Order: sequence, then structure tokens, then C-alpha cells
Amino acid sequence: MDFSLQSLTGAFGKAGKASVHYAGSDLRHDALAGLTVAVMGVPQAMAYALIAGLPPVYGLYTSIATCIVAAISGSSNHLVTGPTNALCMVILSLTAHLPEKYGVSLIEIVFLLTLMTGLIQMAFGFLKMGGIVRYVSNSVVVGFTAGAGILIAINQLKNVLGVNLEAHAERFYEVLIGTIQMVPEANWRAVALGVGTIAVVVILKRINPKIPGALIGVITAAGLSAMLGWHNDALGAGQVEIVRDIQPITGQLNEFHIPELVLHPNYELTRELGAGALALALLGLIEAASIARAVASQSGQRLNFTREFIGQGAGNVIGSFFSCFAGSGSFTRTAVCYQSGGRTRMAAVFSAIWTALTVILLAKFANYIPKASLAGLLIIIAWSMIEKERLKLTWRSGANSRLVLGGTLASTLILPLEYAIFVGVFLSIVLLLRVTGSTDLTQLVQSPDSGFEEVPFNRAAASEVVTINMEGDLYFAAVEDLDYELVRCLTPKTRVVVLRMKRLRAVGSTAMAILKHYYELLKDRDIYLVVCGIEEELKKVMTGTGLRQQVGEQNIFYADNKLFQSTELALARAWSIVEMERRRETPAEAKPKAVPALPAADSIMTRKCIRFGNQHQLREAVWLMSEMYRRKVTYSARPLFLQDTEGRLAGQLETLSILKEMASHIRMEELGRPATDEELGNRLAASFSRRISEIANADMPVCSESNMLINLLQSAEQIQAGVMPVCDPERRILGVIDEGQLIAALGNALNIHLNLDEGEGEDIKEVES
Amino acid sequence: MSAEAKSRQRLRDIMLRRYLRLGESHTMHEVMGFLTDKHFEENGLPFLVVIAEDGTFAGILEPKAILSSVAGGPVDSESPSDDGFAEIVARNLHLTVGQIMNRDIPRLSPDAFLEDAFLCLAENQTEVAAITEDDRVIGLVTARLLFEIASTLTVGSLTGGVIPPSSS
Repeated sequence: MDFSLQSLTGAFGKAGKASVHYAGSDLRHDALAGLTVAVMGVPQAMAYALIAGLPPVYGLYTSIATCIVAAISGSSNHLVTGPTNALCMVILSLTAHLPEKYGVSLIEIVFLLTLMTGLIQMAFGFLKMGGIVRYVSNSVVVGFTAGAGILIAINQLKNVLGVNLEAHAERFYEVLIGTIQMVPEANWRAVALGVGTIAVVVILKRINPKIPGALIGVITAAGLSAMLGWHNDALGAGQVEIVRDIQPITGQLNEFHIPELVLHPNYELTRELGAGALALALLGLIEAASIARAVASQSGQRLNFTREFIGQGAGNVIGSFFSCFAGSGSFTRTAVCYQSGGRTRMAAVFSAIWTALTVILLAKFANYIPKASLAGLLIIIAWSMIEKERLKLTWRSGANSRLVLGGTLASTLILPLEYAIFVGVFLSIVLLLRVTGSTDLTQLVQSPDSGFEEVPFNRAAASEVVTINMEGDLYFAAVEDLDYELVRCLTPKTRVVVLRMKRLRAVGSTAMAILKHYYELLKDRDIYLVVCGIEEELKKVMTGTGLRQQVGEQNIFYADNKLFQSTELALARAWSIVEMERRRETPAEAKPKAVPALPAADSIMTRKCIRFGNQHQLREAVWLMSEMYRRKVTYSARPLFLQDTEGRLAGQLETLSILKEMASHIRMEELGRPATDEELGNRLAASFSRRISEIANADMPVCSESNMLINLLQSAEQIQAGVMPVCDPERRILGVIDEGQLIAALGNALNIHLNLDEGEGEDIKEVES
Repeated sequence: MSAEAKSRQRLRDIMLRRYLRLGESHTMHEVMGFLTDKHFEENGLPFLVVIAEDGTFAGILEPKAILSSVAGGPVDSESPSDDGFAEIVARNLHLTVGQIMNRDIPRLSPDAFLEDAFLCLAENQTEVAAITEDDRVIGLVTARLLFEIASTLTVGSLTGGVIPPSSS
């Protein structure tokens, strides 16, 4: 994290630089765009102040000071900052009950809240926490905005009706019920102005969306109200409340004002506002970031969210000293700014200048705008906040999205607004953890063409070798009961479990403990464990926890860049274990007791034979053969039999051929001295990438199960590498016969035994030098 | 000894020291009688090193040679009878080791290096070379042994799982 003055000076420095290079040709476009934004934004700003429970003039002030600072110090060229409906709703929720509790004026509490919000936002910016907005999902924003829209509409109904609720109602249903109960006492003049404004805005929008319906609506309402004298006190209960009655707009611009609560801090109040300021800061940043991103996706501008966060924070911090409440990016004003041809951030500055001129020049007229008219305007805005299409889309995006959307919407209506945001974020994160917090298990089944088929877990046919593919996260939350889950796919037939762990992430110590337990469970059942697809990170964790040593290096296959390579090798290893077990388990009496006088191949051969695909590289074959040799204590170098994709014998790979190939890279004369073992190893490995089919011998004698010993002996002369394959009519390998077996078979058949009494063979002995 | 020299194995360090020793005068009957022992059925045939009467290395008796000499007599038909075949074998069992052994076995010094052994076996197309000292065999270098060493030396290039042979 980088918290330094440099980032601050950098942020403002860039803004300054931008202004230095401001092109004259942009001036006209920005000035016009700013004017359009102001025409649309002035009534909106006054109405939003009403949402926050504040006099409309503060909405105008926020549209001036906060807008200018955020535009200059932010990153977006088109983002227009100022009062927003959602933020105003949160401000109302946070502050409405506090003046009575602390004996401080509402506006001073709002200034303190704005300052705190700005400082938090700037801190997010300096700490480069722009990524935090990623944790607030679309469902949260849609749900919150819709909820805020409902709240705004319900809260403004009383203003349209021209009534005041006796007691302060906090819950939305309390406000709604209270308002409904007041319907009989509704002021028909206020209703006419409110509904009239709504009608004007809706109709003009239908005629031409570019017509500033809101401005025309409130001007018309103000004109009618003034002409008909509906604002006169003489009307008593029938009087229509106008802006002047709330707090007159004096024609004065924002003045520098140090908030009272900064000069005379009230720590309890400050502490009480803390969580709300955080929620407000987050909501403001989310709004600003998402709106700026939406416009940037059209304009092609590359945004710097860190700078945008600092800009938003600076706008609110400085704004709090100029009678502004917390503001953020406004979607409607930003969209208008961009669509009206605004080219640079100066368009937003111009919108503030035009708003300021409105305050100075038209304050007198603005004071006559009826509150009911502004409320009508807000009900239209509230309706537009309930984005029906986005709600539908989110609802159809799955159960998780529905849960977050519904949860946020419900908590917006039921809980204090600042908590609604936290509830939404909490739900998003919990569901994110639920999605990531699982390990996907499937089973792999090797198909006849040597490929792999993925089948649902525990659905593969029973086999001696069970291959489980694990994907996803393997951290503590994901592995609960994984060991017992993995046991589910075992059958009485299972001898070896191959765990493919290639795409696992976030492997933690809990997962290792679980896997160790799984290993123990398998061991208790006399089942072997082979693991493959082990990446470097997993290897380290396995080493550190001792699992690597426990499983045994011979049963661990490390991931390579070739798909399924380590899995194939692991399966070869697994099947060799199965063969080994079969051999061990064959009872001694099951072996042929007496070799027939002249036996056939089926009674001589060994059915244990490792087969290998003929498309592999030499390095894989070397590895497999070295494993094969390690398992079998013999002196001769047995070959590896290769089969094609249909399982037919395709050749044999002889040790001598491999050595010849590897030795071809030894160049003694190059070094002028014998190579070190390391140099020799490198040279021997030089041909590892060769395909084994190029080295293998495809011309070898093949016999059938029914071949008699005499025929076998005749073929033996052609045997290379001392082993002869026994195949079925389709050349599928059934087993092998080596020279030792032929000698033994011949000796037994003809009853050739040493007569030790006569000293036969007494000098023949195994020696160790 | 320099560190570089230490990193080079000599054949003395790796050679196979265990083998079956027999003389040139042993008959095929004796050899086959010896080799039908169950011990060899389970563990495979060892290399049969033939030692001359003066104790020097004479050659290697290869299993293929045993089979071809014992069973490879003149068989007239493609499906000889059991009796006829038994007669041929009985006659050949009197052949001696000296008559059929391979005397053309390459020899290497115990002080030679690994690469000498690799090249020797590759050039001679043989599965075994004798390590001799003063013309007496002290060990063997076999294709299998060299293969295991090769897999160990190239362990870094292999895809895991290859373990160097244990010191035992």
C-alpha cells in the first residue's frame, strides 16, 4: 500500500496539468454541455435535498462546490458529482433522529457526516483500495437502488399530498401507513401541483426525451402556484408549501464555513456516525466508480480508480466546509453531460458555474417552487430507480443472485439504510465463499482410444483403479468431509485410487490433514494411493506436511505441460500395482503343479506385462521402465511392449535400443576429458523427446497361447531382449514368455535335474565378487 | 581427488558383482538342471559367467545359446513328435558350455567411466560387458544396470517418480 504525499500531489498535479493543456475548442462544447446538465440538474438537486430532509438550497450548494472539486481532482472526463437520490436517502436515515438526541442542528450533523465520508473515501484512494468495489456485486447495487427508490417514493407521497406526519416515522411501512391515514386530510392544491408535475415530465419525455421536462414541470408548477396565490398564508391548511417556506434561497453562494462539530467535537455523535459514514463512503464510491466506468466504456477513456476515489473524497471533504452534504456521481447528470457533447472535466465545472448563476440570478423565482412539485419530480426519479430490466436480469441469473438481490432489497426496506449496504456485501461475500468453497469431484475413465472421459463422481463402473479428478479450492472451508466424500467412490474391487490434483487452488493445512486421513482410510482397506498433476505449490505443501513422504515418491507424479501426461503415468503405475497384487494374491496351489510333458504357451507365460501406448516420448518410457525394473528383481533387461490405440501389439522397446539412442549423444572428444555424471545425464537426456515408435522394434516373433513348447523353442532363436510376447489372434498381448521360463519349462518337461550325489553341477554357483 | 573427479562414477563403483559362475566343461544337462531351480523361476536368470580353468574370464553363456543348442537340432517336420523332440534334446544335453558360450564379450577396466560403458554396449550391440582386472572377471556391466543409472542421471529431466536406486 502506498500512502504518501506523492500520490496526493500526483493526483492533483495531473488535474492541474490537464487544465494547463485545456484546448480552446473544447470550451464551447463543455460550456454547452454544462448548461444542459444545469438545466436538468437544478430542480433535481433541490429535490434531492428534500430527500435528505434538508432545505433545497443545500442541494444546489452541493451541485456547485462538491461538483467542481471532484471534477478537477477526479479521473473521469464526464462524471458529474453532486447530490444523489440513494445517498440522500442514507443521509436522512442516518441523521433524522440525531438533532433531538444531541441537541445539535441537523445541517451541522450533515456537514460532519460529509467530512467523515470524504476522509474515508480519500483514505480508500490513498491506500489504493480501488479494488474494493469488486466485492459489491451487481445484485447488491440493483437491490439497494430499487429499495432506495421505493423508500423515496413512499417518503415523498406525504409531500405530494401536502400533509405532515405527526410523529417521525422511521420504518417504511410506518411512513406508508401514516401517509395513507392522512389521505382524507390531503391538500388538493398540493396534489394537483405534484400530480401535474409528474404528468408534464412524463408527457414531455414521451414527446421528446431531450426536452428538460423536470425544469418545465417545476417552473410551470411554480408559475401556477404563484399566479393563483396558492402559497398565501391566508389559505390556512389549504396553503401550498413552497421552497421559501422551508428555507429561502437568498441568492448567496456557498460560503466558507467550518462545521460546528469540527470546532466543538462531540465524540459520541462522531462515533455514532462512524458506521454510517463508512456505508455512505462505500455507496458513494460504488456509485461514482460504476457510473464513471459505464461512461468510460463508451468514451474509451481509461480510468484511474485510485484517483477517482481521492477526487470523490476531496469533493466531500472540501464540500463540507462550503455547506454541502455528501455527494457522489450522478448517473443522469453524467449521462446528459456525455450525450450533450461534454469533452473534458470542465463540462462538470461549467454545470456548477451555471448552477451558481441560477442561485445568484433566479433565487427569487426558485423560492416559489412548490414542495409538492419537487416531490412529484422525486416520485418519477424513484420510479426510474427501480430498474425493471436489470431486476429481471438479476433475478434470472441464478439462486445466488436472487438471494443477494432479495436480501439487499428487503434489508433496505427494513433496516437502517447504512446496514443494507453491509448486508448486501456480506451476502455477496458469503455466497462467493460458498461457490469457491467447494472442491469439484469427478471421475476419469480411460477410453479405448487412450483418451479420458470425465464422468460424474461415483458414477464410474467398478474397477480396480479409481481415478478421481479434483478441481477448485482446497482451503479449509472447502474440504470438510472431503476424505469421507472421496471414500464414497470405492468399491470392493478397488485396489488403487489415483487422485488427479492438477487444478486445485488455495491448498491449506486443513486440506493436507484431510488428505492424510484419506490416505489412512485407504491404507486400512489395503488400497494404494497414487497422486498426479502435482504442481510446484502443492508439492511444497505436501513436503512440508509430510504427506509426500507418506504417499511415497514412487506414487507421486508431477504436473507437466502436456495434458494428462502425469495422469497416464499414474495410471500405468496404478495398473502395475494391481498386477503386482494379483500376482501376490494368487495362491501357490493355483499355480500349475505339474507342467505337462510338452506344455503349451498358456501354461508357461507370465500374464503380467506392462503395455504402453506407442505415441509416447522416450522420457516417459524411460521413466516407466525404470519403475518396472525397480519393482522386479531380475538381471535381464526386459523390453517394454507397445500397443496401438486399439490395444494391438505395435512393437517392443528394447533397453539396448534405448541405450544406443541415448549414447548417440555422447561425444567424448568434445570435452577432451570424461564427462561428469551431470554432463553425461544431460547428454543422455538429449533424445528424450523422441517418439518411442521411432526407436521400437516392430518385427518381433509373436506366439499364441496354443503354441507348443517345441514351436516356442523354434521361435526362441529370433527372440531379442530375451522375451517373447504371447498374443491373441487380433495381436492383443496376453502375456510374455522369457528365456528363463523356456529353459525351466524344457527342464521340467524332460525331467532334467541334477544328480547331486554324483557331483553334477557342483562347481556352478552364484558368486558375489 | 578434485570435486570434478568425484562427480564421475567409475565402473568399479556401479558394476554388478553378483552372477553365476561356471566352467567351460560343464554340460548342458548340468546347466539346465541347475537353472530349473525354483529360485531362478521367481527371480529370473542371472548372467552365466564362464571361467576358464586358469581362473581367467572365458566368456558368457547366453540363455538363447542354451535354448538353441539344446532344442535347435535338426527337426524334420514342422510338428515334430514329442518323442522325436525328446531324443534331440537328450542328445544335445551332452554339449559343453565351452562349445556354445559366447567368447566375444567386450571387456572394460574397472577404472573406466560410465560413458565408456554406454558407448561399449551401444557399439557392440551386447547386453553385457565384463569388468576385468588382470584378465579375471570382477564384475559385469549390463544393459539393465546402465539403464537404471541413465534414468537416475536424467532424473531431473523425467516427470517425477524416479527414485535413485537405494544404496543397498
